[in-house]
Amino acid sequence: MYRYDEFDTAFVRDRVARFRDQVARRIAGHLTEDEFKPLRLQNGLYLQLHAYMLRVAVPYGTLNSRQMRQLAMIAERWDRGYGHFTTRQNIQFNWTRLADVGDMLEALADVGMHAIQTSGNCIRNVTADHFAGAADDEIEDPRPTAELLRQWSTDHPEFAFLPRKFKIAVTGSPNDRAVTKAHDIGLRMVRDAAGAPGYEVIVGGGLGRTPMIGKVLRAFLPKDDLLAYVEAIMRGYNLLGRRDNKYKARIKILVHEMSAEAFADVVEREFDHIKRTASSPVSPDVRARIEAYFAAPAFAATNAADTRFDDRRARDPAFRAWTVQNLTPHRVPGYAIATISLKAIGAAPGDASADQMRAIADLAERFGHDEIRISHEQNVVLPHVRKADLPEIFDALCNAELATANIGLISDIIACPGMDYCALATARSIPIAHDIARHFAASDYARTIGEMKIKISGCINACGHHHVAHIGILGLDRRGVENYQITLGGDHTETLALGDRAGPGFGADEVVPALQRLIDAYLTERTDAHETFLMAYRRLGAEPFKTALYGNATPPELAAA
Amino acid sequence: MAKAREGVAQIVSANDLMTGAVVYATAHGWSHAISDAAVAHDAATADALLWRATADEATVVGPYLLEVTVSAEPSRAITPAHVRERLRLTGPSFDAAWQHPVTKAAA
Repeated sequence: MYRYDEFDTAFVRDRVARFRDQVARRIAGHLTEDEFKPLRLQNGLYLQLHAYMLRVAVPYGTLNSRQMRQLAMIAERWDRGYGHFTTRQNIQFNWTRLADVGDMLEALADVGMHAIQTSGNCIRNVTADHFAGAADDEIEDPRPTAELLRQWSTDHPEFAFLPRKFKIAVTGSPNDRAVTKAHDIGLRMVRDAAGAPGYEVIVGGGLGRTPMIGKVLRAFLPKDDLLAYVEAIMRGYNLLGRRDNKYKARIKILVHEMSAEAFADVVEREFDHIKRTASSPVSPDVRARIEAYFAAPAFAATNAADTRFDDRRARDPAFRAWTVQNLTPHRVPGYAIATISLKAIGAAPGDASADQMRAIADLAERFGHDEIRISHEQNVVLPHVRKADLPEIFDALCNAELATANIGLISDIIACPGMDYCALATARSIPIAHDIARHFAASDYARTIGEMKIKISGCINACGHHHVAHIGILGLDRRGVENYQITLGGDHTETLALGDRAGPGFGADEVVPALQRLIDAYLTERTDAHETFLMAYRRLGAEPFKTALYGNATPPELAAA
Repeated sequence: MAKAREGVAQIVSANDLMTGAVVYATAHGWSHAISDAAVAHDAATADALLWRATADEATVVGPYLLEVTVSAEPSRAITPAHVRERLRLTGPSFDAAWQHPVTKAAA
């Protein structure tokens, strides 16, 4: 993974010193709150319901054991002993005090981390496939691209005051685990007919109150042209994006309003101009230097005589179940990708205690080539583990309450913090996640249901990604009472689809019974156990599921829905 | 957030600048206890409360008005009308086994 050089280290230290000074001036009254707010946002410091919240960047979701241990220390020393992993692969501390932020940022700088540009109208954390460098379906590791974009976009003076936030995601696999089609810029690594590497460039995807699927701006962009082309996109957006209305300021609105073709024209002209007039910002040796950081670890040779994995699977049903749900094939024989669930029944989705973070760090260091990933599904990944070590890893996870065998199942719920934490929320999301996970806790039943992606957002901003859930839940405020709308048939993969609104919302107590009716309908109607809920929904359409939710009657509010 | 309104009991809440903790505007300053909050029953008083709070950037950040109900004498218990405000009072509504308990005094 990338390691800070002297420049990077000096840069984050300087940033900490600058922010400390800004905080001191705010406290002394030399800066007003209006002046201070954009500065604190660009350093990842939010004001939430109960306290400040610090959002720490985890570049493309990658960190090592030393960094994870430092996050555990920060959680214990300056917060309430835990952190929350987000749908953009970052980590949030919910109980930050302004007086402590300088020290927290210093502790982050000590391990090559920061909270720069995790908020504000700037380019945010560039996210990538959490199985990068390990998955057997990968064309190329997307992380060097993400790292290049990270370095280029950090403190970029031209793009520090965009019309609105800007999010970029990169996938190196045709199986899109980075949700590229719902990002402002999505990059899919592809090869042309001659096998040359490049990108399919997708623009204008997004969720929130006006969800949109990204449009392909360029089917093939040669690899070396990436920064020039992204710069052209950013310039087009910076110039033409709306600044009159916060809710219409994302690039997706611009692309929608002027048409993808017209926007592509703007971009191509600027791209052409950049290439003719500016020297390339990326020399081949810069690229090579970055790529060297992401060289594969020294994988151990397979030892066929080591039967620990198979032996344990044969005699331990709990271990077997965990290997079925939580492992993904690795490109190296004898290795596996292990996903650690942060969705224990009754836990807040995506939360990890300091002890749990340290347990994960120990496992990564001892068994995982010191590499850890955070997924946008709010789980932790050990991307490179030997299968023979998995029994011991599993035992350690059991001790840390990190061994829930539910990846991809109904209790592997994505939930935003919701109204329990967030000042923007219109409803709580975590208690709904708890109710669902508890109701469907029986593991045999959950496995019978099979692949089921439930995502819960506590407001229309959709940080829980409910639009792209198989079953999405959106919590709203209906005359002061929390009310939950259900969406059906969303998909966050390369076949990205936005869920259909099922109908009128449900009270908090009605959500689980409604879900049960949906599950019953699915289990009744599916052709066999291989037809997932999403497949069944696509085959059957919404009708049988709407009927399951609301019955056959069409009360007036349904007719209007 | 709420505007100043006639005939509706309102108080001002904000976050402490240094700690981020939830605070309520009192007659002369700020308190962590909602029972100390100054209650406005008309728009002019509510506006004045909010104006004073907004000017107090040295102490708080993000002040706003919220609707409350005030129970009858002698208790005069102040209860926020909206669930979000009740959550600000009590902290997150769920238990996490390893999470430190939320206490207003710890703020």
